[in-house]
Amino acid sequence: MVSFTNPIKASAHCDGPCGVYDPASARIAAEAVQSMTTKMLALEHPDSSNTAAMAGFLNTMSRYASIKEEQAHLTKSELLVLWTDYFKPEHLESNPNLHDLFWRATKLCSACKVEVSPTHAQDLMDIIEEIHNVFWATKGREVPWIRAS
Amino acid sequence: MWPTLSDGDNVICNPLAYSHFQPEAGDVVLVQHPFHSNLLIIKRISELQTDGTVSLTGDNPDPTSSDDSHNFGPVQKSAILGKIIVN
Repeated sequence: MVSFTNPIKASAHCDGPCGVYDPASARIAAEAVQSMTTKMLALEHPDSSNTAAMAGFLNTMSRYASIKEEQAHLTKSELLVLWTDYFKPEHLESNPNLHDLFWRATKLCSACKVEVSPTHAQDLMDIIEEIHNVFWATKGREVPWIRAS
Repeated sequence: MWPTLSDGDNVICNPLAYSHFQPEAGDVVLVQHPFHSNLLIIKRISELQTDGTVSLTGDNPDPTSSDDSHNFGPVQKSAILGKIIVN
């Protein structure tokens, strides 16, 4: 009555209803942070006596800063969803530094908000690439790291 | 059911374990998932309810990891297909 030759398959766990996770969403937002950082540093300051030009310059710079802020926050949110919802205690066995990795990544998001720093922006991209590799390794898949920009 | 069981583990199920005996809290059991007729799951019995239904729980300490009675409520005893032998 008990079969040893044809094992049946059972599940010990299920993913949540959605179960769709991808570090790509964090990467895209971080690329936007990097892009805005670059644009802010490249914007040329007009003659301050030219009122109209100054208004345009300040408006553009403000919008760049606003988008940098939003996208850095979005990056942080996307990373936190991966950390809290995708990763499980068993993933710590192969990635004992997982929590530190996410702590450093989310702090870089804050650093990119506070400063206009190409270094922080690239460090953020680099750490998300590390998270990308850790993530896909847990799924046993090799997914290339491809930037949109 | 991590850390008790990991993906790919082979386990032995005794389908006759509850023919003459009642399931008990702490038993690891093979169960028909209440929402998916083709899905068999392995969970631990956490509690026997007074109405005869059975509450199941996963062993994972992460509260978001397990799909168990916290999600689908207690199950009928008839959904329990056997007892899993865990070392």
